[in-house]
Amino acid sequence: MEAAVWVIILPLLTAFFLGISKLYFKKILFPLVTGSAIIYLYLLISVSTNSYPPKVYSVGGWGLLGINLMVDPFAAMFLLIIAILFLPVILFSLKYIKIDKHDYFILTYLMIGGIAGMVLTADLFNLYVFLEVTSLSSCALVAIKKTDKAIEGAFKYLIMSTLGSFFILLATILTYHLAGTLNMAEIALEFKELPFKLKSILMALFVFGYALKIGLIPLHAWLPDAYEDSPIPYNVLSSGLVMKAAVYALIRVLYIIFGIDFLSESGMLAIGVFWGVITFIIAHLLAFQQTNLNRLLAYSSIAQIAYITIGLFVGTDGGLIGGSFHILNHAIMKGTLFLVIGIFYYSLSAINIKDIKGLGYQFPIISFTFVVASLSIVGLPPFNGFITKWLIIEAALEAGFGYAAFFILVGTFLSLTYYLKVIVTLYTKTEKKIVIKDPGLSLRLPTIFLGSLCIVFGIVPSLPLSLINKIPQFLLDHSEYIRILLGG
Amino acid sequence: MITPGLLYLSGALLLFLPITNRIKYIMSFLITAGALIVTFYLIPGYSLELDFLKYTLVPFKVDNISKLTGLIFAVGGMAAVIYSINLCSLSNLRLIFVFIGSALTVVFAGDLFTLYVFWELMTISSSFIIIMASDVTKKTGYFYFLVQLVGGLSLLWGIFLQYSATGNLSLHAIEAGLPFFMIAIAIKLAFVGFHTWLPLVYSKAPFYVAVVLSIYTTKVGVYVMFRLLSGINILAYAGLISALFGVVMALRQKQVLRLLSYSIIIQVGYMIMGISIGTEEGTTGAIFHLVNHILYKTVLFMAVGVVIYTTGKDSFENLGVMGRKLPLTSIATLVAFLGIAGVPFFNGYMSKTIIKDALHEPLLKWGLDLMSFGTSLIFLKFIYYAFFKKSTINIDKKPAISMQFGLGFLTVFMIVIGINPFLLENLTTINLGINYFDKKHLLSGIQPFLWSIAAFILLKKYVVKNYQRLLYYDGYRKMAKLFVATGYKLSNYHDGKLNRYLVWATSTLIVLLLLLMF
Amino acid sequence: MVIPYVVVIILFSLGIYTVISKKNLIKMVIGFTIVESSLILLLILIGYKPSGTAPILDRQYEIVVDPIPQALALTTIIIGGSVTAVMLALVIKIYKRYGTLNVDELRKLRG
Repeated sequence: MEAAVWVIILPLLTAFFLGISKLYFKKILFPLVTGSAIIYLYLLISVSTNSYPPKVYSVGGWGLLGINLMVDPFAAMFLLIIAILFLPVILFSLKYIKIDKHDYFILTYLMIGGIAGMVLTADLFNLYVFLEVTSLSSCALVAIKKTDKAIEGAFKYLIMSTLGSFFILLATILTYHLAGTLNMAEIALEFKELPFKLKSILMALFVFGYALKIGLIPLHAWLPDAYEDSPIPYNVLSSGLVMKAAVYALIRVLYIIFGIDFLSESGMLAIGVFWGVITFIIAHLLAFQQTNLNRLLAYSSIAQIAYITIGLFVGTDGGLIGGSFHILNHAIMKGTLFLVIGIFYYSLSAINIKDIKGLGYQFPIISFTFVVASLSIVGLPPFNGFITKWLIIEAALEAGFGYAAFFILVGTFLSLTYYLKVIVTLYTKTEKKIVIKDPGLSLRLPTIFLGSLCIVFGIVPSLPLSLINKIPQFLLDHSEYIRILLGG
Repeated sequence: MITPGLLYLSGALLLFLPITNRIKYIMSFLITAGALIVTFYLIPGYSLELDFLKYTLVPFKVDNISKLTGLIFAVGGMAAVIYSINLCSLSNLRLIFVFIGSALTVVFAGDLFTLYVFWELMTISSSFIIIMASDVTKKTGYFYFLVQLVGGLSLLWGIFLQYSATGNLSLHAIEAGLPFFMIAIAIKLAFVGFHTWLPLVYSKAPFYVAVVLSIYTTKVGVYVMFRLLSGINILAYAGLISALFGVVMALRQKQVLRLLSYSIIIQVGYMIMGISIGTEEGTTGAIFHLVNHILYKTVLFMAVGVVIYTTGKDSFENLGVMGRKLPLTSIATLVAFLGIAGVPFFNGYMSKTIIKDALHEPLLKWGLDLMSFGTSLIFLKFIYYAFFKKSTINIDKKPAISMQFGLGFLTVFMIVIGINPFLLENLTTINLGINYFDKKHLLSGIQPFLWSIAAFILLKKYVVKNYQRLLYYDGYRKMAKLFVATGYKLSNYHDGKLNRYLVWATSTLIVLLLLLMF
Repeated sequence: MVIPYVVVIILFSLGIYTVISKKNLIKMVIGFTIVESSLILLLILIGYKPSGTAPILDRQYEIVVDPIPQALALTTIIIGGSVTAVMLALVIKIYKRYGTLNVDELRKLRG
C-alpha cells in the first residue's frame, strides 16, 4: 500500500501495540516507541520529498466515492514539521516522563495519527473525525499528571474545544447538504453556484470552530490553562502541531472550498488580518504579566499564531509563503523554548520565572539555546524568526495591509519585553541551586538539535523555502488542486 | 576575499574552542591585527554580491569613506580588545568580537538588508555585553536593549517603506519613510530626547564596556546618517541644539564617565552639522571628525578606566591620581584633551576646521564656536581635577600592561594625525584644498580655547561646583507604566470562570456572523 | 418537512444555552449531549427521503435513503460518546479533588 496511508496508520498501530504491551509486556516500550518513531521519520521524509507534483491516494480503491488522501506541498511541509519535532520530542519524553509512561505514549501516538490524518485527508468529514481524535487525545494528555491544575485545565480545554468541534460538525453537515458530497474538490466545484449569503454563514461557522482550536483572542482563554500544568514535551507538540493543525485545516477549508475570490469578496481576508493584529497585541500584553513560564510561552504561542494567521490571510503568494514558513519556524522555536523549560523543570522543578534565576551559569549551553530561540521568536536577525517576519511584513505591505505590517513591528518590541525579562533573570547571579536530577544527554541533545535549527534556517532559509515556495501554486489558485484531486 | 567583519565574527566562533589564556591573547591579537591589515589593503570600488531570498544583496562594498571608517574602526577595535582583554570574561570577549565584527560589516554594507541585520546584531551583542558584564547592569541592559530595538525596528520600517516605494534595497539617499530613518539614527546618535540610554549605560557599565561601546555605537549612527540622510540642511540646527544641550548637561555631572558620555553628544553634534551641510567638504569633515573623535574619546575613556581600575571609583576627586602616579596615562590624557579642545597641531583641530569651513550660515558658525568653547570648558574641569587640584588619593594596584599598551597605541595615532593633518586626505585620496596652518585658520581655531581658559579662571566656582541632580520628566517610564497597567487589567479578566470564557466565545460567533453577513 | 429542522434548531440552541449558562458540571455535559443529538438528527434528516427504504443494493428497492449521512451519523455517535466519556471522567476527577460540581469554583488557573 502507499506510503501516505502508512503515515496515518503507523502511529495508530503503534498506539494499539503500546496498549497491548502495557497489559502484557511492559519491557518492550522503549524499542517499540523508538523503532516506530524512526520508521515514521523515514516515512514522513519519503512522502514529503515526493510531493511535487501533488499525488492523490484513494483509500480502499473507491476512487472519488471513497476517502482520498492528497499530498501537496502544503501537506508535505506540515509532514516535515512532524518529522522535525517528533523524534526529538519522543526521545525527550522517554526520559522525562516517569509516571503513566505507557498512557502518555499511547495518547501521543494517537494524537500524531490524528494530526497526520488532518494534514493528508481531502475529505471534509474525515477531517472532522481526525480533528476529534487529535483534540480528545490532546485533552487527555493535558490531564495526564492528575493534579488539580492539570484536570481543571483539561476540563476547560475539553469544553471549549468540543464547542468548536460541534460548530465544525454543523458546518460540515450543512456543506454536505448543500453540495451533496464530502470530497473537497467536488464541494469546491458545487460551491461556485451557491448564493453568497449562504456561503458566508457556512464560512463563519467553519472559521469560528477552528478559531476556537487555534486560540485567537477572545477564544483563547482555555489555552494557557491547558499549558500550565501539562507534561512539557506534550506542550511542544501542542503548540507546534495541534494548534498548527487547526490553522492548517482552516486554511485548507477556506482556500480550497471557498476559494480566494470569495474570501476577498466577503471581507474574510480583512477580518482575518485585523483579528490577527488584535490577537497578538493583547497576547503580548498578557504574556508580560505572567510569572509561570508555561503560561508565558502559551501566550507567546497565541501571539505567534496570530502572525501566522496574518500571513495566511493576506491572500497573496508572499503571504502564504511567509505564513507557512512561520508555521515551521514557530514549531522549531517554541519547541526549543519548551524543551529548555522542560529541562529546568526536570532537574530543579523550576517553572516560575523567579525559580530559574542564575541557571544561565549552571546550564550554560542549554541557556544559550534558550537565548537563541527567544531572540529568534522575538524576530531578531540572524535567526529564523526574523526571516519569516520579514516575509510576512513584506507580503502584508504589498497586499495593502500596511497597518498590520506596522503592528507586527510593534509586536516585536512587545515580545522582547517579556523574553528579555526571562533572559535577564536567567543570567542574574545567585547562590548555586541544587540539581535534583541530572538531565543527561538524552534531554540535552533534542533541545540543542532544535535550537541549532533556529540558526541554520536563519542563515540558509533556502533549505525549507525550496519546498515552501511551491505552496501557493496549489492553495492560492485552487483549480490546480481540484484538477489533481479529481484525477484530471 | 575575507572581510574584516567576517574575521571578527569567525574570531568569536574560534573563542568557543577550549583554549588557554595564552592562546586566547595570541588569537585575539592576531585577529584584530589581521582585520586592521585586511582593511588597510582593501581596494576602493570592490564589491561583492550575494543572492538571498529573492534579493541580490551587496554585503560588502568598499569606497574611500567606508575604507577610512573601517580603518579607524579596526584601529579602535585592536586598541579596545587589547585594553580589555585582561578585564573581561571569555563570554564577554566573544560578544565584543561579535559587536566589533558587526560594526565593521555595517560600515561595508552595500544594501539596506545587510545594514539592518548587522545593525540589529550590534544591538543584540552590545546588550548582552552589558547584561553579562556585572550584576548591577541587568536593568540597564534591559533598558538599553529595548531602546535600541525601537531604533532598529524604526529603521526596519523605514527600509520597508523605502523598498515598497523604490522596489530595491540598494543603499543610497532615501526617498520614503524619512521620519523613521531619522528616529532610528537619532536613537543611535543619542540625539537630545533620545539620549537617556547613553549616560546611563556608559556610567553604570564596567569601564571597559564603555570603552568598547563608545567607539562604535554612536559612530555607526553617524556613518549610516552619512549614507542615508546626507544633505538635509535643517538637521544642522538640530545638531547644534543637541550639542548645546550636551554642554549644559555635561557641566552638571558628578561622575567622570557621565561627563564623557555627554561630551559624546556634543561631538556627535559636530558630525551631524557636517553631514547635514551635504557638500563634499562637510561630509568629509564629519567623517574625519569621526576618526578623530574615536581616537581621543577612546583615549579619554581608557584613561578614566585606568583611574577607576587603580582607585576603584570614578568621581572627579579620584582623577587626581593621574598627574602624580600615572605618567603615561597623563600624557595620553593631555594629548586627547588638546585634541578634543581643537587646539592647532592636535588632531581635533583639522576636522573642526573643515566643518567650520563648510558652514556658511553665520548662526551655525557662531554656534560651532560656542560648542568648541563649551567642550574645552568641560574638559578644563577634567584637567583641573586631574592635574591642578591637590589630591591625597592613592592607587590600590598598578594598571595592567595591556591597558597601557592599548592607550599608548591610540595616542601615537592621535599625535601623527595632529602633526600631519593631510594624512587622512591622502588616505582617502580626497583633496579639500584647505591649508590648515595659515593664519586665519589657526586664529579661529585657537580662539574658543583661549576664551574658555579665561572663562574657566573667572567662573571657576560655578564650573567646579557640585550640582544637584536635575529633576527631569521621564516620558519613557510613564509609557512603561501604562503598558504594564493595561496588561494587568487585561490579565484580571482571565479570572478562571469558564462561563465567562464561553460567553466571550459565543459573542465572537455573533460578531463574526454579523460581520460576514453585512 | 420544515418542523424537523425547527426541532433541530431548537435542540441545538437549547444545548448551547445549557452549556453557557449552567453552573453545574453535569448539566454542562448534558448540554453537549443535547447539541450532539441535534446534529445526529440533522444528519438523519438530510439523508431522509419520503418512503425510502434502507440502502440495500437490490433491484426491488427503488427509492433508498442516502447512505452516507447514516454512516456519518454512526461516526458522530461514536465520537460524541467518547467525548462525553472523557468529560464525565474529568468531572469525576474534579469532584474528587475539588469536592464540588460548581464550575465557578474551578478557579485555580487564572491570569
